[in-house]
Amino acid sequence: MNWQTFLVIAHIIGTSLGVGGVTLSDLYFFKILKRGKISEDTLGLLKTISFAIWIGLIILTLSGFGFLILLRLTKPELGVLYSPKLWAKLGIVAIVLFNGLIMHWKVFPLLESNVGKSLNSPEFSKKAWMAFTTGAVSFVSWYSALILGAWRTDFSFLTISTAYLTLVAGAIIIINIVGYYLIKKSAKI
Amino acid sequence: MSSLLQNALIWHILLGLFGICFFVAVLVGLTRANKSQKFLKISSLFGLLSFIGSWITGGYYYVVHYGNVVKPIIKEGAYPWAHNILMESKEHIFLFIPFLSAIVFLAIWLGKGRFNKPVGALSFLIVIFGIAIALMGMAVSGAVR
Amino acid sequence: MKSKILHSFIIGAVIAVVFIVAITIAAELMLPLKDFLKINFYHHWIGKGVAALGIFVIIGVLCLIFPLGKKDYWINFWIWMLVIAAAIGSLAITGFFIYEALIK
Repeated sequence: MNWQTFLVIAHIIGTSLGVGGVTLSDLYFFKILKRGKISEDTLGLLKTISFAIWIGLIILTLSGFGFLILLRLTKPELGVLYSPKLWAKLGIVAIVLFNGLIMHWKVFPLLESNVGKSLNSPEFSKKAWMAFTTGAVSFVSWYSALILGAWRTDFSFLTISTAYLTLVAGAIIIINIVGYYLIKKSAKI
Repeated sequence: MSSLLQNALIWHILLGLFGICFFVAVLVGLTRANKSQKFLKISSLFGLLSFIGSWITGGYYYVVHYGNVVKPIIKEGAYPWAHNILMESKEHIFLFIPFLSAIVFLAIWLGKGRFNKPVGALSFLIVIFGIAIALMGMAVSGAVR
Repeated sequence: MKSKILHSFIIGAVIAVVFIVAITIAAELMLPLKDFLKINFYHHWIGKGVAALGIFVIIGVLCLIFPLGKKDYWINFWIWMLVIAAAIGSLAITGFFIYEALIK
């Protein structure tokens, strides 16, 4: 197995952990909202999935830079290091990182303080937008990074960024609407 | 490029990335309600060691090879600003990082959790610098054609 | 004692960071300084690093000898000073090189 193959495998593993983790985490969070309550066990599961996503991000980043090192040492003339698609992907990965930090700083403490309580309380409702927004950003960002990685395209950095930001804005609006609807619905049950 | 120089470049990048990962771990550790001092201590120690390693390997590559061989290629190529702005900024901002990391390490090991807010801010700054330096390094490498 | 070690070396780090910014800009504006570093340390970058490390250690040790406030307030204050110094310093360095490369 050569370095290229090893890095491709590692990159796929990292992406799978991230994309899979974010999908499961968001689906599970909607289930919790429907139920109207979060228990210690469900919070623990969300934290475990979050840990898997972090591992995925680390593997993705290290293998990604591995590709760049390989290119720098073997084929610098290809100019891949100045590819607009690559820089767009890097920007998205940076957003994934900072979004993850915000989740740990604001969202997990919010969930921890509401364990065992009803999620349609004013206390949770007032700050739930943070959970919905970071969830939306995470979901769109991971899938965008996956698609950009697989899709051979010549789009400019501006085109990719505009499309990405539009998707993020749309997802934030939709997930907030759905999230607050589920909170209100769980109150009526 | 000799095998030693290739390894110096590779380890400079990898150790720098490890350093960023460890300080992200410090940040995540500081956000927890029940902060694990053991986790913070180990993360800050390995973060500091990673950045020192990156400093030494990067410094070796820079002093022995970059100045004489790579820099002229970049300055005469299509992207001279890659050296004049990015590399010059990167190599000097990079000098901050071991000192900032050392203070995070000392504050966690000696502070017993009394200085979490400023240590968090300092760790965040280290992560920002690390990412900026990594991206600048990529742009410098990309100018070598 | 632990608080004093921490306090002392934080001050050392702040001064080291300010020194790095100052010597970086000064060495670009005063080429004899850059040559001095090159002659004495083989490369100007090594000279800056060694000098900054020396300042960090010397100031840290000096602060250990002299009495410093033991209160947590001052340690917090100096860590925040370090954050500010490093942030402003990095902007100053980048701004300087942008100015030198594009505007000058």
